[in-house]
Amino acid sequence: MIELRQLSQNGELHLYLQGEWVFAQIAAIKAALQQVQPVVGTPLVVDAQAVARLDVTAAWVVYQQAQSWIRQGYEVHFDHFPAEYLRYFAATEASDSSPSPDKGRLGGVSLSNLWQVLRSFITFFGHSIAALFTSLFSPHLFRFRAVFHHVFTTGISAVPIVALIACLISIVITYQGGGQLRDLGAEIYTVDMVTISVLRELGVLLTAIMVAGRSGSAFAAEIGLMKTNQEVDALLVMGKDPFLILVVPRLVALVIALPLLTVLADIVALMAAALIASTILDISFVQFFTHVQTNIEFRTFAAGLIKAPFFAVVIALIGCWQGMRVSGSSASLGEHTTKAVVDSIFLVLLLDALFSILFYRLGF
Amino acid sequence: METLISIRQLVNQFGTQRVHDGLNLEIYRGEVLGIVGGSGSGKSVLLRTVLGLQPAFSGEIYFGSTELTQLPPEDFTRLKQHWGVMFQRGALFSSLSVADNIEFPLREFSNLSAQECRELMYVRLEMVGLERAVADKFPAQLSGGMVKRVALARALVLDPIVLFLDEPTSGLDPVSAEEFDQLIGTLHRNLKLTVVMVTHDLDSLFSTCDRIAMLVDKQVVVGTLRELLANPHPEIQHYFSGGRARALLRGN
Repeated sequence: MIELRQLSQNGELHLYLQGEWVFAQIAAIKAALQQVQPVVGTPLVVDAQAVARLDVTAAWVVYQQAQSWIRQGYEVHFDHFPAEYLRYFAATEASDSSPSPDKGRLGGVSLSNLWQVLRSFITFFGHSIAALFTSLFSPHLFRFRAVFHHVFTTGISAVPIVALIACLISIVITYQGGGQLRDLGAEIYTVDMVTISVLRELGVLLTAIMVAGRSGSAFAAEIGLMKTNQEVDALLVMGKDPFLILVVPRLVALVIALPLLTVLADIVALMAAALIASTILDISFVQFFTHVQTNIEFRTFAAGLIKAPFFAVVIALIGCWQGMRVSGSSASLGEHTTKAVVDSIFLVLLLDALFSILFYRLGF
Repeated sequence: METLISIRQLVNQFGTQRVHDGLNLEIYRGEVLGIVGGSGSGKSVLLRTVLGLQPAFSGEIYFGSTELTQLPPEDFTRLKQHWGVMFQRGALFSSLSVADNIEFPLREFSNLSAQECRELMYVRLEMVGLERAVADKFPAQLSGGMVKRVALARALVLDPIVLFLDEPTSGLDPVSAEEFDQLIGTLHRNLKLTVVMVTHDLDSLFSTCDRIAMLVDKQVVVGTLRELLANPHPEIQHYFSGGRARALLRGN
């Protein structure tokens, strides 16, 4: 509890602070100070002799009030006020310059900024490819164990979710398409529709998106944390190229894993489609796969699969690159992990569109 | 001497391994207590137990007249506002600027205006001997010594009664470490704080601490430096008979 006793003595107005003037009482302290009515010509004396406890925050509130009285033209003295507090406050006031202008940390994306990002990626890309070739031509530098490890984490442990996604998307297409085509009496063409859309596009695309979400973010976070923890610097001072140790194994592993996952997704999707077709469209398993064999060319499958390694390169490079761009704070780690996922999914879709145009031109 | 924190019959156990076995320790109001001990002797566990970061296996911890181990969480939270804690590596929030780091407790636990919070933040920067320009920096841009000072400023911002320091001078160069010791001494005098520090630094032990609590045989031996030096226990003798300790003692 606090008390502020006012006493007029010798032509001065004495303010005696009493009780526990502490942080928790700030509201009460402010209210008590508001009660004081200073008179012109009568000096105020703030006396802290009888105070039980006076902490920095409370003292500062009193000090600020005194300063505002002084600015209003009253005379204020401090008596028995802790001298070291007054020293701290005076020093703070003395160094009180105009607040530093906000440097515009969130100043949006400027053109030079964009150029910097682009240049950083080109540098990274070149460095990675150089490291890749170095390790291809000197196999003792190639880290097989790391590649196996990453094939396992990015590929084998992704099998259940990729299979499930493939299965679900194929169920959706078969139901939606089959229903429409049956009305036209052309339900057998459901087989063509599902097979072509899955093999050419959806199998590889959904797998790539799934992998971008799983592994692209993991790459960025792993490398980013190593960066903040100075592990990358440690590699550098040991004379080891971090690209050789961190980027190349991830890149190679993903180039191996993503096509395999795509094949798996294609197989599972066709099985699921056959199952749904046999239940709702009266197209038996044999009929389904005979139709696939006679009507669908191998290049339909190839057109999908050939995109997988390209997508893998994009996902791995963007993930590792964003990881390398992490600096300092945990916010930066989160920001770059997010960017790794968003950018790689965007680039995968962009690349897919380019492939569509290319294949159309080539009549593939 | 008024007792501020009292640890009674504390037992901490991980699996079958006992770290503390019936440990008793009294911390007096207004003193600087150093907690020392070899690696793995349970200094950090002791600190974490007192701070409530780790439940005690058994035993009682009193803060004033309040028993902490059975205290409901909301009461404990209120009580913890009287504590300032500085972690070994600062534990500054890396996504907040120095200013926001220091103002964080003020904004959370008071209804002061943004302007007042900022001014009080500057007062704390002044108290720990940092320039105002530091306020706009981010923790990743600070040197090791500055991180410690900012962490100390954040620990002081709610005007704690007791300040817990975990290895305050670790990772600092000798000059910075000595300055930091002096800073702790100054703040201890000026703010009438009770300081509890876990430390490895013999310099701070000799120059700053009033009493030393040494963890030996899963318990503590408390005393002034002189008393500990006179203690015939082989582990204590071993701790203070290393080359560095002897050199410091000669210097004193």
